[in-house]
Amino acid sequence: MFAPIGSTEATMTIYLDGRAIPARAGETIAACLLRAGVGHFRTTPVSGARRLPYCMIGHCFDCLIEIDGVGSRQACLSEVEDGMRLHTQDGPAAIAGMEFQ
Amino acid sequence: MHRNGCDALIVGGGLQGCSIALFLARAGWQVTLVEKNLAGRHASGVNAGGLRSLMRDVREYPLSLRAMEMWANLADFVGQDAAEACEVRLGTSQIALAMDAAELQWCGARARTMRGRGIESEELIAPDELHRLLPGLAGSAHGGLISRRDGHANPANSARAFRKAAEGAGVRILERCTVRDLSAKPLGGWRVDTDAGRIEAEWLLNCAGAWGSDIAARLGETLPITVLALSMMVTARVKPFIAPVVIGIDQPLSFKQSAVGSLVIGGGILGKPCLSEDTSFTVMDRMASSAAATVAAFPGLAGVPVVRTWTGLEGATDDGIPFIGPSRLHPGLWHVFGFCGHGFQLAPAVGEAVARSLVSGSLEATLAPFAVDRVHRPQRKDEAVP
Amino acid sequence: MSSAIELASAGCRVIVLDMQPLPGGQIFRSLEANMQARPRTDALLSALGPAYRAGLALIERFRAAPGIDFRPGTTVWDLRADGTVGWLRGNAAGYLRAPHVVLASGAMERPTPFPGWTLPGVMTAGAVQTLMKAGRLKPEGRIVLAGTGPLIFLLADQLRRLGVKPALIARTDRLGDKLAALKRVRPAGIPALAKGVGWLARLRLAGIPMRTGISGLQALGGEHLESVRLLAGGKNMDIPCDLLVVHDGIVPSTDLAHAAGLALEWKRDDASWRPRTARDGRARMAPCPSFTTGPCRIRITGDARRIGGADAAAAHGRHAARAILADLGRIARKQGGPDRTEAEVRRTLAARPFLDAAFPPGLAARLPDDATIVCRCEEITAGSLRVAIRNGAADMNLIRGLLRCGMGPCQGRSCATTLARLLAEAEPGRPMPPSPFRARPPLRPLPLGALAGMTGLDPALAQVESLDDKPEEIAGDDVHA
Repeated sequence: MFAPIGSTEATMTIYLDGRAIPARAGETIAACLLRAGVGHFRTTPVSGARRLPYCMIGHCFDCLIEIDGVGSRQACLSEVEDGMRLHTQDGPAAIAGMEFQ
Repeated sequence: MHRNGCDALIVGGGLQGCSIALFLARAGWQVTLVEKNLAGRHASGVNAGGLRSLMRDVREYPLSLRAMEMWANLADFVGQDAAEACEVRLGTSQIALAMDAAELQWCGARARTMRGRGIESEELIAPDELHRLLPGLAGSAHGGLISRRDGHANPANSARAFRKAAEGAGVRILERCTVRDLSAKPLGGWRVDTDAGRIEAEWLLNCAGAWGSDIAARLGETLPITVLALSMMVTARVKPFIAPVVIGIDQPLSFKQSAVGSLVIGGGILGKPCLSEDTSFTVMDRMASSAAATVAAFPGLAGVPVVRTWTGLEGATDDGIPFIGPSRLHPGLWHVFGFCGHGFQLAPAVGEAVARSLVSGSLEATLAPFAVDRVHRPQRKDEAVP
Repeated sequence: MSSAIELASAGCRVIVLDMQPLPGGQIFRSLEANMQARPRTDALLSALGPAYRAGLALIERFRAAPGIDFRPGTTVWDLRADGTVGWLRGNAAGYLRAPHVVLASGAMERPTPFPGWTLPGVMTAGAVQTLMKAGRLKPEGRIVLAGTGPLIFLLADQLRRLGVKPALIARTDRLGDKLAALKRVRPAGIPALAKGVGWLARLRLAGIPMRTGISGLQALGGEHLESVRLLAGGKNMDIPCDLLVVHDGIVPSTDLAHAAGLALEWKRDDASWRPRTARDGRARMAPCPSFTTGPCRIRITGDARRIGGADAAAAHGRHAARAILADLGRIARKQGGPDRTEAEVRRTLAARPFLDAAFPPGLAARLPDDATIVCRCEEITAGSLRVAIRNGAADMNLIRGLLRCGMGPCQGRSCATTLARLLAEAEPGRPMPPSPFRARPPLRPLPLGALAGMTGLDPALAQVESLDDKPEEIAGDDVHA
């Protein structure tokens, strides 16, 4: 859906569900994942429907994702950090340090 | 009977008022209930929804035991659909956490005392079982008390269920209807002027919660309460991880996971009441200590976001148990308020016991400790009520 | 930025809290980074045009002004009328208190529930612009732009410069709206009008298909958007599509003002609330109980007060700042007619009456049908809301409690206006709810860990009042179960 304007000058790597994704310093997680063609950031806890960012300015909360073990973080307001580990949020958020089946 | 007359007029549409109305109507009484706001707007709909006998005042125990049976068979009282909506979960247990040696010592003493009274349900819990039931619990938690039959329900839905059941049983419920004037009729009974006109009734029940003292005072009776703004925090939904309700002993800690997955965190932290305006405000400055107690017990929750807070108004008596019983001054008047933030679990049994007492004309034994004239008796403690 | 510069230049100490990592708001979003980027981002800068680059002067003055303590990456989750602000930055949270607070929290795009608006592949025009500015991304594939408002043209023109050709621009507005609006053009608004005519001409020249007066927009697809259906000229059109960009104009962000107990007013033409303010931005308290006592210390400026765009926001920001300086006795209060900054506010708002009339709410003009989701978070449909309303629920907060509409993480930002309109629809003549859902802090998610370590607590309030639930044993009591 989105392509870079000019070169991406990616100098970092982040991981989504274990998959390495090149990232550019200063960009938001949402922008980075959309460039990588990620199809959804989360599924809803109500119906399990897939969601991607809608507003990109922190109002809609559809970009929620798990960042370094902490769930329900807004990808559109969070900047990438080298080595960051992201997980698609499947329904309700996971809790840091706890295993769920 | 006069068109606007009835056997009982209940002032206050909280859980207690609706429960009493339900049981009186089921006994064949004509009941009208007036509520100045919406039924269940304050403490009834805004509390932790704990179905708890753990750490309950011993004077409330007999009533609480009966209430527990009634919650377990709620459909018999409010109907199948409403009972399901209440999300009653019994047997998940409630656990009082001991976070240090002093709290642990207190737990031991409490369990011994209760056993001495013949109450076996509050057991000490061993650390291994504690950590098995509460994944993510900090290693520093030493043990605690567990009451295995306890659980929780959805407070707002329960308040609605009792209201709906009362209506179904024939109770006339008038919302957004304020009481303007109350007077005793010369030959018995009551004449009450409301926004919906004059209502006459044989019996008047003051179930006005945080406004209970005001109603009593208008009839010349002094029944002091402190008005509290009960407050709760609700987090974003998280995956199911904890079934028991966890409460603190000296810590401002109380939390459970709701049916939809959000954590509901209380701990007795109070907001700012605004009684005259029929509202209250949450005070986040105070919530900090409740959040700190939660994170100290469950460090993994530090990243879980609070998304909402609630508050509702409640009344607390000086001695920690409610006023339930006939007025000292007026025949035909009962007071039922001042539940001190732990009336939710009691409500079905209060409704049943009050209705039975009124219908039979003799006071149910379970209600004896709550007599309103106790405030005028010599006090055991130093802080005697004026 | 304008308020802060004006106040700091007069010697005030100013703290600026901003959710973004860089100054510039949404309009000049990431401007500094894009100017400094190596390799250079000329294609992006030229696509965004001179109006974007023009913001650099303001940002440089903001950066250079002594006395401004800029705190980026900070969300505000509580606001009280006495000037108390609850903030969150990373994992730290606290309260700040100031004798004057300027609320410049901008606008949001009008929520527009239509069938399929929650599908991946449906985004707002603002979101696409943010991805261009802050993500240096351009959309690709089959793109449909739908809705109304100047931003649709601006975005389409920027895409054109990047070589992106949308499959269709589907506008809800009609030529008739423009003709009727022409009588509202004032001389000062003519440059804006000319700008719009220029966009339109270039888009036509580029051969981008455009339809006006469309209705019945639907996004179709399984797990991702596959096509768009709409009614144009009385005929159904189905357009295969990868990205549907919607826009229905912008409305003030009222969440903080409402939570602080400030008065809002419903704007019928605009189908939205906006804060009630004096000309200098001073907010009024709502006629209901307030958490705090004493005077209201909040002024509201920019699009958060009244939609006007960048120039109007800068002008009003200066005007509001001068009103504060006058309150502080640092400048003389202007007697008689409007002063310089007030005249500037009027000039920069001159095009608004024309724009408002030319681009009335389109996608949100009609209320959604029963099957359409209104509350994105809890997936509550218009149909279930209508049933609750028919069954007697006449109050926003009651419906929230019954159905969880507005109880999700966005806290009703996406659904409150629609629910308010559904309530009004059910009973013609019923007044609009005076405000959105009852708002209690936190207005934005606040991690428990941050709350636990909060600083800046009000000593008078932080005194913990608590239910003492631990029962005291009663010696010699003979109660047995």
